[in-house]
Amino acid sequence: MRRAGALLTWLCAAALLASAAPGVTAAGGVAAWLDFGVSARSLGVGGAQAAYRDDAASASLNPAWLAWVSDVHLASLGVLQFGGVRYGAVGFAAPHVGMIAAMLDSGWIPTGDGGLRYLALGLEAAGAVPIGPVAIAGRGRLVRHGQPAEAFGGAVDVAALIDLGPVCVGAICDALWSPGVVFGGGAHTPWDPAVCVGLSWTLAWPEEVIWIATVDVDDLISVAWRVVGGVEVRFGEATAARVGWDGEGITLGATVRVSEIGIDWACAVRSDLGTSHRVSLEVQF
Amino acid sequence: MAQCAALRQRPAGGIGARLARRAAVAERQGPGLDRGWGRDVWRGLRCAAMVVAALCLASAALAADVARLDPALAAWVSSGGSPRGAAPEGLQTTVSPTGEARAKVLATVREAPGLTLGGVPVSFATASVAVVSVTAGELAGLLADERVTYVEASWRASPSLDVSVETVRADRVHEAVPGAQGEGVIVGIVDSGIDYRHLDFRTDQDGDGFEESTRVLALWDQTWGLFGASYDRADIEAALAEPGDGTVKQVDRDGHGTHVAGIAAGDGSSSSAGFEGVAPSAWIIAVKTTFFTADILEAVGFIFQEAERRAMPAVVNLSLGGHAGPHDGTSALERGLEELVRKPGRAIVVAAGNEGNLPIHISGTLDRGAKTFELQAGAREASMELWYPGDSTFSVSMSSPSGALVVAPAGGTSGYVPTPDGTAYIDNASLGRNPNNGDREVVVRITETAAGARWRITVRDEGGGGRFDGWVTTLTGTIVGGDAVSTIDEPGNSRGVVTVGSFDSKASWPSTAGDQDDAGNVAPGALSAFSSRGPTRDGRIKPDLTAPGAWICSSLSAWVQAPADERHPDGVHVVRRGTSMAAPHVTGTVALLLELEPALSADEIRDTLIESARRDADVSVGPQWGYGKLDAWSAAQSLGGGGLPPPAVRPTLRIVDNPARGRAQFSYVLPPGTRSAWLRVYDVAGALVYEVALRAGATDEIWDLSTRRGVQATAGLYLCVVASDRGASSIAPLVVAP
Repeated sequence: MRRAGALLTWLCAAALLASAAPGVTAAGGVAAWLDFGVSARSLGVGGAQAAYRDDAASASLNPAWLAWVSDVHLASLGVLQFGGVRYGAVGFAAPHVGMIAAMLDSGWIPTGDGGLRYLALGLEAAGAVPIGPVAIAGRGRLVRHGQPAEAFGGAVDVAALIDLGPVCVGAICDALWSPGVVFGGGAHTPWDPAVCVGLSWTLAWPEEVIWIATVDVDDLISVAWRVVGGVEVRFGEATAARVGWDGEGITLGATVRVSEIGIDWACAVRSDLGTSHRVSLEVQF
Repeated sequence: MAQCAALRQRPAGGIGARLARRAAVAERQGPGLDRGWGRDVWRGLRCAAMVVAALCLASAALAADVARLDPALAAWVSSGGSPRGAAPEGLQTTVSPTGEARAKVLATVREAPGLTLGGVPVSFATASVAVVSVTAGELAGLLADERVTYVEASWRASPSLDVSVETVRADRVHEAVPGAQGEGVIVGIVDSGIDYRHLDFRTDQDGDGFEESTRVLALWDQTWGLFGASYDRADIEAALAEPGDGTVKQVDRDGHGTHVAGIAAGDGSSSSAGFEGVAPSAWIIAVKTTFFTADILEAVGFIFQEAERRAMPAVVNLSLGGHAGPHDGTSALERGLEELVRKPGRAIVVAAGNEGNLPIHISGTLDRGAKTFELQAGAREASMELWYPGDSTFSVSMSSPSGALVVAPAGGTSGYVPTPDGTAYIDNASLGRNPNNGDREVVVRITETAAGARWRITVRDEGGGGRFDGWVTTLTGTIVGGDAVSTIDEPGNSRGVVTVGSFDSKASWPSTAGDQDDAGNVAPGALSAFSSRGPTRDGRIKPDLTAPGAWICSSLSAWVQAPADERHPDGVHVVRRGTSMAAPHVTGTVALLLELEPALSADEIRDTLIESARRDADVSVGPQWGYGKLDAWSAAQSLGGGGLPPPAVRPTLRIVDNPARGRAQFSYVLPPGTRSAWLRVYDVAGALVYEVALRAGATDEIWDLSTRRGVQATAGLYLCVVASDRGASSIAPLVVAP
């Protein structure tokens, strides 16, 4: 246990150190959309993902969960985001490894000279190992912009989890190392580090109903840090409902599961932007 | 069996009998000595198919007194379904590699069709009109489909043939601050094509003084090959960069479409003489059409689909038309157009026609009497259509110049009757009433006659009485004793379109042959003599309004050798006249209105144009002038109740330069009475990145891309919105470039 705590401490310290480097210019994140992942569940609890377990989406939530995945999961996600932006992803998670491929499409954006489209592809691959009650993971992410300008970039992330029974603590350091995103003409935009830490608490009450409360502090090393979180209620194996706060507005979610197939839905509500919806399908082998 | 018996009792000239006779003749001819066994079998099968088709068609017609087939198509079937059918204006037909003739038709349907109708693929459809291409045999299958209520022929319409921008006060809308020039709006031109190389349609995007870019976003040439050819903006710009035409083969050899496009959306940059169009910053989508009605409907649908794909409002100009049809807005083309403008941000403008001084119309109200008039052929053939109430029984007869008599009783046809003066044909609603308006249609056709020959036509009331109206449907030919009332071209009688007549705006102009003066024929301010008049056959006022149509100087296609007295000394502009020139003035004005208020409906646009129309001393509101002269400035003002910009119900937001480099510039409009408003920028996940309170009275805002974290926004996609106490604007996606 002491070794695990030391690892997590080291991880956070490294992230803080990296983010304090000169030239940090992050805002919004060059690939914030990759956090949509491959499952609708985490949005239902406000996007609190550092300590929230969703095996199929582990590679995008906290990849350290892959250390404790026991089956093979296939998943796909469709997102109708604010402003008609569309996102789609497919992925899998297996013991110790996971991978996700995703695409973001703005649709046609009318402009003064006809219009343009923003189209980007992403690939995430992660691996994790358990060390007692601690799991540590590494993840590589690649993005390729197809339109309106060709660009290519990548980042390496690290993550950790400590399983303390009903309580779980997680930390993710995005873009611990990254060459940024390089555009066709040689222009460059950085992919800057971001740290997120979270905690989840699981309670069975009454016996057949499982309550999971989860909270994250996003963008911990930024002056714009924010707290997100939510509560999930599982009624046996078949259904679950979620409600959360993602720092800007309320989120809702639900799951229906039949045998090895689960369908998840979630939405985020904004006063200015309207509502975005996510639907995902998961098959477990 | 009852139906078969009834078929045998039909007049000798009936479709079924004629087709059976054709089959019998084919049988008598036996195997052709020089044609081969296979071809004869093929011909036999085709004849058999014709007989079956005719039986089905006639049975369907006799089952109820409601026609399901256009008489022109019935004539085509009876002629053997040949590529050059016997329809008055010539059907839109093609011949497949196997030798089958196919006619393109418009089917009116009870419910939106799927991919096929009667087993035939649907090439285009609105809610109640489908465009399909059929053989004579497949026509029976189409009619057997319960969803089909009527099948109408696709007939060929014709193109309807400086200072006018100031006359309609569009220049004041351009110069107002903030004003409108059609930016962000698509002007669709369905016409003879466009000279996309003309500088009036090009722009200089890189600021080097050379107009290397184009405002033509898409171009569909329906006349190219079997299926046409379409080009996008990149294709056109690639062609502009090459000395030849590159991959873009479309040319405007007539020049009509280029002239029309120049009036609506030319920017006048080709010449120091000016000639800026009404919406000089609008985008253009052009369709070089075959002028067949089915293709026209598809062309309009294409433009609106392209506009919808780009989330832009659009107005389509149709400077074309003809007189085949009921003139009451119920034809398939008119219904289709009406359905295409049911979404906000869409409008269609149609030229009224140039028959305001031609006696091509006849009408009469019968009560147990008869009316006689003469159809004078302008060439070797002449055709006309007559319409009378569905509950009445009128007979129609025709006598040739030498006295040969041709008769069609109510519900019958004369068949093709050879006379010493030519061949005559009358179809007197032989298939029953038209289901779209309940009336009966008479088709009269004379072929192989002498130009100038007069054929005496008598319409006699055999019961029911009522009014009939008739129109000459060929380009030449007049009615002795006729008038020019109700001469609005189809599809200008549609309820969904804005129909435009013409008034004179200029009587003199400079040309390469010296200064020209047409003061003898043109009186600035007066209604143009040629401008077609209303009302519609069902009594509505058309045209809706008038606009300058004589003489108008606009873009000249490089493929046209214009007469020296019409060609402007700058060599790239030419004067023309006609309601074709009036309509694009309104089209450009609609583009200005749609820039100010992109979600206007077609009804709101027409109401705005009518209410703001200028009614000066020349104008008399009615079926000649419509509701007055176009006034773009008043129309733009009336949107806002007296000033530009018009008040919006919710804030509007536009990104000036997208993608943004170094900074982002926004243009916004707040509803009147707004107390507080903010510009907010979110990342694509919905996290707030930037927020600023908007200044009262301002309409522009600059974001230097610094975020609320105090650092620069990274390259990527962002979502922008103006939020206020009066609601939020639509989301405007912003791409930040590195």
